[in-house]
Amino acid sequence: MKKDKINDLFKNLIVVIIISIILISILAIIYSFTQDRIKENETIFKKKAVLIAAGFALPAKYSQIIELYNSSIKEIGVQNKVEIFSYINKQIDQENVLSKGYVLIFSGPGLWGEITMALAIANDLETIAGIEIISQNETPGLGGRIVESWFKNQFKGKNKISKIISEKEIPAEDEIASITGATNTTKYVLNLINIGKQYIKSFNLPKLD
Amino acid sequence: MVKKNNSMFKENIITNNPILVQVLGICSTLAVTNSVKNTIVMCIGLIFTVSLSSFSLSIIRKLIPSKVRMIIEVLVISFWVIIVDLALKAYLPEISKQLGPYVGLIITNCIVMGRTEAFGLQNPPIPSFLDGLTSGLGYSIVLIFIAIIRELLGAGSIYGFKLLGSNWVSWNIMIMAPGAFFLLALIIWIVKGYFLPKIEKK
Repeated sequence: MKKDKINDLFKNLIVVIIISIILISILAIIYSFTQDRIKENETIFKKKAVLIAAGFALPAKYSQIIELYNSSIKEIGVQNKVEIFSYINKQIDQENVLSKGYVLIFSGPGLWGEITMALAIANDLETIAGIEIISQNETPGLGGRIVESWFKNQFKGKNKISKIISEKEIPAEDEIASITGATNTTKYVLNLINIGKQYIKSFNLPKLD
Repeated sequence: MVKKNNSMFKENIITNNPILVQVLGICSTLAVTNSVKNTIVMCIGLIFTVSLSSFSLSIIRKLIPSKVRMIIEVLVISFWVIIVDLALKAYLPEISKQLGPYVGLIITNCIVMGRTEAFGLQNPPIPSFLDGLTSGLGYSIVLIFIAIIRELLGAGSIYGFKLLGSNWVSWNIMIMAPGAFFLLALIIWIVKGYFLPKIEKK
C-alpha cells in the first residue's frame, strides 16, 4: 500500500517533469527564432521615438527611417541611465531654433507606473522641441491618452509651462491643455519634462554649431 | 457529429455563455473593454489560447495522472500564452505595446482553465478544439459589445474614430472599471431575465 503511494508520486513527478522539459524546449526554440526580430523592433521603436520627439516627419519605409536616423541623429552616450542624442533637423529652416538640439530618453514616475519619454530640447537648451512617450502604464482611455499626438504636439516650441488648463480651452503660450479634468497624469508628464530640463543643465551639454 | 457541434455552438455562445451565464473571465471584461481595438486583440488572443490549450491537452489527456492534471493544464496554457506574446512582439509590435501586460494575463482567465478542465480533458481533440473556439467566441461577442458601448459613451468614438461631435461630454465613469461593472450587471440582468428564458422555451 505504502509502496503504491510512493510509486504513484514518482510517476506523477516524472510526467510533470517530462512535459515541462518538452514545453520549455519548444519555447526556447521559438524564442531563439523570434528574439532577433523582437530586438530589432525595439531599436526601431526607439529610433522612431527619437526622430518624432525631434520633430521629424517620418518617411513610410523602415529603410528610409533608418537612413534618416543615421544622417541626422548622433548618439552621444548614457549618463545616469539617461540616453543622450543630438539632432540636426534639415526638414525645417536652419534659422529656426528648433532645427538643432538634444534628445534625452529617460524614465520617471507617472500616476500609476513609470513613464519613459523621449524629450527633445532645442539648441537654446530651454525650448521644448517635442516629446514622445515610449512606454507608460496610465489608465487606458484616461491618462493613457498622453500618447495621442494632439497632446504631445502642444509642447512643441514652448519654453516655460506654468499652467495646466481644461482640455476644452485653447492653451496660451505658457499653458498646456490637460487630458481630462479627471486625471493627474498631465501633471506627471509636466513634472517629467522639468526633470529632463534639469538633466540638460546638469550634463553641461555644449550648444551645437 | 455535426448536430452535436451545432448544439455546442449554441450552448457556448448563447445558453451557456462563459461571461453572461457562467460568469467567468470577469477580470479581463472589466480591464480591457474601454477601447474596442484592445478588446479585439484580447479576444483573438483568448480564442487562440483556449482552443489550442484544449486541443493539446486533449491529445495527451490519457497520459496525465489526475492528481497533477491542474499543474499540467497551467503549464500548457502558459505555453500557448507565451507563444501569443512572442508572436505579437515579433510581428505586431505596435499592438503588443498597446496591450502591455494584458496578454500575459490571459493565463489567469478562468475560461481557459474552465474549458480545458470541463471539456478538453474528457473529450477527443477535434471537439475540444471546437469547444474552445466557440467558448472564445461567446466571450468575444459579449466583450466587444461592452467595449463598443463603453468607448462610445466614454470617449465619443468607436475603434478610435470620433463619432459623436465635439459637444459630446464624455462619461468618464464608462472608461473606468466601475462603468464596466454597472454595464456588465445590466447586460447580464437583461439577457438572463428576458432573452434566455425565451430561447430555452423554444
